[in-house]
Amino acid sequence: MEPQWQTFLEESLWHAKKKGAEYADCRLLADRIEEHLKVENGAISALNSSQSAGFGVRVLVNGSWGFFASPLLEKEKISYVVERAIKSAQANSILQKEKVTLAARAEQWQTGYIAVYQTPMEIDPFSVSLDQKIVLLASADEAMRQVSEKIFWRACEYSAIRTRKLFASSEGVRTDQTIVETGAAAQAHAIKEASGDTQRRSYPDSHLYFMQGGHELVQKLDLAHHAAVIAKEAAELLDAPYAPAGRRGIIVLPSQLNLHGHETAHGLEADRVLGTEWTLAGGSFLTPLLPEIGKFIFGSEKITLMADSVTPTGVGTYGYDDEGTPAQKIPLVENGIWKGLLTSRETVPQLNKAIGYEYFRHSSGAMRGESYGSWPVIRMVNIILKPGKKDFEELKNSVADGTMMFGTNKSWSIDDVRRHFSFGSEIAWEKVNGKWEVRKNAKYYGDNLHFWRNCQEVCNEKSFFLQGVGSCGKADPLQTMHTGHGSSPAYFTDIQVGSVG
Amino acid sequence: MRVLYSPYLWLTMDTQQIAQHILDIATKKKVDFCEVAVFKNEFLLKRLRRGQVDQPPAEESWGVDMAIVKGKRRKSITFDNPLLAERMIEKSLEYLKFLPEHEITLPRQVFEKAQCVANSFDEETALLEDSRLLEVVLQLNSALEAKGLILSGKITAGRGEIYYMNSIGSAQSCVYTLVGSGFFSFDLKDASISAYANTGGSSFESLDLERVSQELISKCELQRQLPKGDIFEKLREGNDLRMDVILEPYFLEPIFDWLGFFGFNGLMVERGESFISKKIGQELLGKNIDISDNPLDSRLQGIAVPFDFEGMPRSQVMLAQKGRIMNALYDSELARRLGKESTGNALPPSQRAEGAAPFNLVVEGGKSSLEEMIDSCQQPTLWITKLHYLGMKHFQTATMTGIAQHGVFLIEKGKVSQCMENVRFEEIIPEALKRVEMMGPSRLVFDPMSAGMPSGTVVPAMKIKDFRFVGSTKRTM
Repeated sequence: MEPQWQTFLEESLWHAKKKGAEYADCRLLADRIEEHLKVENGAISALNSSQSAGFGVRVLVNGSWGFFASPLLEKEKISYVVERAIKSAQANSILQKEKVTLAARAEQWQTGYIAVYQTPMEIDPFSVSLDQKIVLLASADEAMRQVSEKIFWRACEYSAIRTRKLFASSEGVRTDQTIVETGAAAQAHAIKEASGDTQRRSYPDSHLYFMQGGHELVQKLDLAHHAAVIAKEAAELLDAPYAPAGRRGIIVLPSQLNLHGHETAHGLEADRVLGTEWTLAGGSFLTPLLPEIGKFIFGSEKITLMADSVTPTGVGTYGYDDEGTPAQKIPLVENGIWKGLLTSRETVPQLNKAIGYEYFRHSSGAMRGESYGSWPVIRMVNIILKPGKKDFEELKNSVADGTMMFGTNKSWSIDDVRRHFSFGSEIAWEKVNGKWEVRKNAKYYGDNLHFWRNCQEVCNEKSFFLQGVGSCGKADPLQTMHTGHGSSPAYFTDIQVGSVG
Repeated sequence: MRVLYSPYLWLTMDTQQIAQHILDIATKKKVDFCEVAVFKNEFLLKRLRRGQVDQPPAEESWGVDMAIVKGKRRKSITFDNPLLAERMIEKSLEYLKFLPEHEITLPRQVFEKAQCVANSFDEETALLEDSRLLEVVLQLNSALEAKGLILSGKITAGRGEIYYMNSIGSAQSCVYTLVGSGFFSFDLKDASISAYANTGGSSFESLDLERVSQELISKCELQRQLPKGDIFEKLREGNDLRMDVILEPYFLEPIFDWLGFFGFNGLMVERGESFISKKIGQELLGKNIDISDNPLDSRLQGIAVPFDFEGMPRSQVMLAQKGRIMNALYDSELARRLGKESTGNALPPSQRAEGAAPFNLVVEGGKSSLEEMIDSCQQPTLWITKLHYLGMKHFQTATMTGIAQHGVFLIEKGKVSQCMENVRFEEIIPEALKRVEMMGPSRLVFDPMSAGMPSGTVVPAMKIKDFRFVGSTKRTM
């Protein structure tokens, strides 16, 4: 860490202490640069560069939180920002009935040195010329164009983000992290002129795909090859039958199952369980079940969901969260039993009170703020559905005729406690006479516990797919965050399917 | 103008001076066209849980969103610290050299100064005092506690300036204040009993706390008194149900916002992905449905920007009149491609690839009160407070899904008879809008996701025939 930033952080904490803070931390965004390039129908429709820097100070005074932030990284600004945070905490304390207490840090989580984390990568995406990126996207665009005249709208995107964020707390934690995320995607839209029906396919997924790492991850996507495949599928979908309706066995592919896991895992965020997120995202059906944690049957024994902030290339991977807690790998659901939650230091004592004993000891290290001006909140890290043993091809062969298989996510909605869901997919297949036939406008919906409890099989790691969702909204004001998700295809029984349109 | 580097000079400059300074830098670098939108705002927000402040985000922020054009090449730039301007422009010019050329429409028209939005700024609100927000919370806390209820939600206040300027001479500015809220009440002992209400405007004076307090208390009390039911209790998933509904403005606001962005966005229309694609001029909604985008509507209570992000003054644009689709929304580039006129709905320079969007939807209502709507129900009818997690199932038909929350009641023979479990709808919205039987007065629904721009929606409550439901949730085990 450069001396001027070290001094800046120390001065922020010094001012906070001097003005009466029981606890203080300063998050300093030294630099965040983003580059976004989009090619649509052969032309560049967007080329945007953005840059951001600033700092935010969070304080505890009389057991109440205060916060203020500014984009002006000037030493002379420190006193003003700290003062505003302190005043906010003092004012808020009027309403405070239960003082905020922070869970202890684990003994092995050392303080007194600057902990450094840097994204491992082979090719810095910011060192790759614009020419190269345009060629990459233009090749994918051309591959889609050549497939079919029915492809009327083609879109290819490339994005890179580098974030350098520094953190210091009054408890002696100091971190310096540089995180690089790179993403690319292609999307093909086909139209049937006679009816006006349109169908779309996306690769690698339909949600602002990102991975943590460099340009090498984009190279591995083989975008042009897959662009041609999705364009062909989009054109085929135009003439495909609608998906059938009824109770079916379904195989859900990772490009849909990862989002289903994402929506489910929102209900495993401690702030939602405790009721802080009602203003935007809602609550969790687990709230009244807190005393049953460790015993409650969440899914079938095939289901093990991990919250993992250490797995390579995940966009939920880092060294330390935004209150200085080290990255971890913890079970949320283990062999079907609800075992854990995504937590922060503040929520641990609140959860234990509701559970009735000290179930949680330390934060799971899930606090992240979108930027320096964002209040950090509990965020999904990488949510991983642990692979099983069955080979995907074997599963496809073994399931009965009438089984549906759902691909890339197209639409999504789930209720405010994460129980009743409805998902639509860009493409689906129905097994007919032992063969998988394409179906369009497919959806599956129902109760989320019923879904996870009816999981019969999770495929092995050979078909495991880790992706980054680039647009998860939470908090107030709204913060958008990248979260990681990984799964293999999985088989569920007795699920309601249907179609729309 | 000389280049200014001191942050203190930046701090004393207003958005106009910064926009001008950035334009000067770009002009010196010999760009053919430059446009700059400068945003400056500060806000406080109190996020509440169980009647106390759980999270208090607050910040001062700047945002610059600009584009430069040289020859047939365009690039957009965004940054949040005006000090970065020169470096960002220089770097962007380096990039421009590598871009392939393509057709670009440059604005030719210099627009007149936009008419100010009435009551958009309030000096008292602009003071942004923590205590003022907390007074509101204390008042509601006290009313709710007396009824055995707890308060959650949020209240926020902000002030800001927006300045737009381009190199052919168009310049627009506005200053604003805003106060927005979204309050929830929960029963102390049974969290499945809950209610929601919001209120807001450009000043604290516009808060209707009496209505909010009444809604939060009365809905929870109704839920306490009434037997609980589940409309899908005896129906297996897959059996749809059509029922008459009374939908409150909180439920309808996100539906109309999505209909506005995905349905009337000229880009979606051009691509054939909108329910109005190739259907402009047709009667796609009920004859009693009028929708416009109108920053000057007084019911917005000052929550509007009077110009778009090409500097074009905004005025009322009729989107649907007596059910007939009148217009899609365009910026100048979209308008050129389609042989139309811009409607004054350009997004900021970095977001133009997303099309053109309404900023202030106004859906005209009627005169029926909620009580009159309830009295009129001869068929079993669901009265629903709020909508959660809207999803677009099918763009071309505007088929949407979502789930009801914070107060779902069954009305039988004109009386509220049961408190129902939250239900999921899936409906072709334009078709539903052909079956609107009664409407309440339209009002601002304002529970903002940020203080970055004043934008609100005016919408009524509606009584709709045969709304389609596909399931219900289970909040308890």
